[in-house]
Amino acid sequence: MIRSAKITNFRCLRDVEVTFEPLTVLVGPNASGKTTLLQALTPDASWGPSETWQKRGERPVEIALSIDGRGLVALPSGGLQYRVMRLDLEALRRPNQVHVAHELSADGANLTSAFATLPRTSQAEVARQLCGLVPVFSDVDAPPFSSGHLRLRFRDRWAPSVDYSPNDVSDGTMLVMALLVLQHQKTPVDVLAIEEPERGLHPWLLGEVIKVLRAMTKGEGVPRKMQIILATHSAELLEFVEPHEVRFFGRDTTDGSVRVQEAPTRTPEWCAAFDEYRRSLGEAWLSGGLGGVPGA
Amino acid sequence: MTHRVVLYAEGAGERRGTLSMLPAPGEALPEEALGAGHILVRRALERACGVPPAATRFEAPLRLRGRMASGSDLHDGISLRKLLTWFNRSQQPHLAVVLVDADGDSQRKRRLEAYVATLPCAKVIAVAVQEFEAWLLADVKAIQATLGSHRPFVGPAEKLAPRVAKDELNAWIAASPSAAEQGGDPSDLRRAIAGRCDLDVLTRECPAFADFVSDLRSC
Repeated sequence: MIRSAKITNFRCLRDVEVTFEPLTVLVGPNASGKTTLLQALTPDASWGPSETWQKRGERPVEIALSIDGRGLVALPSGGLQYRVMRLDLEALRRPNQVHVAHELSADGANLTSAFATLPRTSQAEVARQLCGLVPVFSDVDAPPFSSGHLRLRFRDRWAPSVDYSPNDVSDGTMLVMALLVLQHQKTPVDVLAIEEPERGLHPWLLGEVIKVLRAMTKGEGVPRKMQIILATHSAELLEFVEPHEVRFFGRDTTDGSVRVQEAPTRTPEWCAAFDEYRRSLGEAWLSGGLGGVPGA
Repeated sequence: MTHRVVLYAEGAGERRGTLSMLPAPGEALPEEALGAGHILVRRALERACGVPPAATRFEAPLRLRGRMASGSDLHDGISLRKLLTWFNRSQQPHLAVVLVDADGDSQRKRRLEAYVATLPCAKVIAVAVQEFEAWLLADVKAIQATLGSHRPFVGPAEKLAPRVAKDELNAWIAASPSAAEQGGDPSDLRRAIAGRCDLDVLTRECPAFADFVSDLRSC
């Protein structure tokens, strides 16, 4: 598990130190550095002068991670299985050529193959979970669609003879399907970062998705514990995580460099202040008092 | 020493300058973002507490689910307490001013003060009778000098029925040649009146403003 990252001189991350939990949520306005941070954590990437602070190239990019069992590790370095998922709602719907896919690709374009490659028990588990979360369906499978291709098929809960193709189902359904398949990767990663997991999801469903992801951080239902980092704009999502799990991203108004703040949960005034907000982290965030809002 | 102040006011007429996108809470509001309410509060602070205008730094206020608080938000105890609660003591301003209209409710000030009495920040609840525009109407000479127009005297500012002061000020601004010169945006004219009005006249004509100054002194 990554405990912390110190990033210097990388794009807008001029001098940033971020700590991580088993489940960490990054929030902030557009262009506040969340995606840049996820890129910075890529273990084996090396960055040239054009990736330095304000493209000055005066000093090199320096990224150091504190990792359990390995101490301080300067990047690039091998050994950490890290993946950033930017699930593409169009790509998720594509029929896939028949092939073995033990890993879901970053954009999810091989979702059908990744699902079809799972053992039957895992497929059944994914179908069971999906139908629990999106209870308009009673089953999902991936039958042949045309020569050499597979396509996901969703069965209507009330009309068993009626099926739906990916183009007929909601964005949220496709996204949930992809997140559920992630649990069954043959080679699970150490750190999984997911950008905007809330897209298209009803707020109630968000809580269930967070439960699935949190279980993965505990090693439940997956071969081993997986650290998860989410980047989001969703105040609703924050209602399902703990204040200490959130990092608030904003820009320094003097030079545009990224500032990362944590909720001041250890201060004496935190509990009383949070109570005023009825312990709604989403509302507390949108007050602007925690950072991570436009103009910060 | 910088005196950090946050102002909550009912409407855009009191709090809005010419800046469309305000800074994040805790950041300083630039001069062009200040509304007539800010200008009056700054002058009242100088009068009551001797704070030089240049030392008053207005900061962007907290929001309610991302939107600027206004009107009924400030009359609601739960919302008002949120707006006067900062998560970090270092972010808490030296003073928070809540400027609302009485709108015929003689108990409003007492009630709002009771809502927030237990909060740790320094705060003053200012209730204009019947509305903030009455304070801008109080010094007729300042209005005439600012707007370059004349209108018949409608009566003591705080004796006007609810909405009369608002309508009267709007009518005055609409008739002003200065309004046409400035593209019809009344914000600058309201700010100019707030900056020019004689505080002695305002204190004399508007007991609610006098109370506000007195509250600032004892805060």
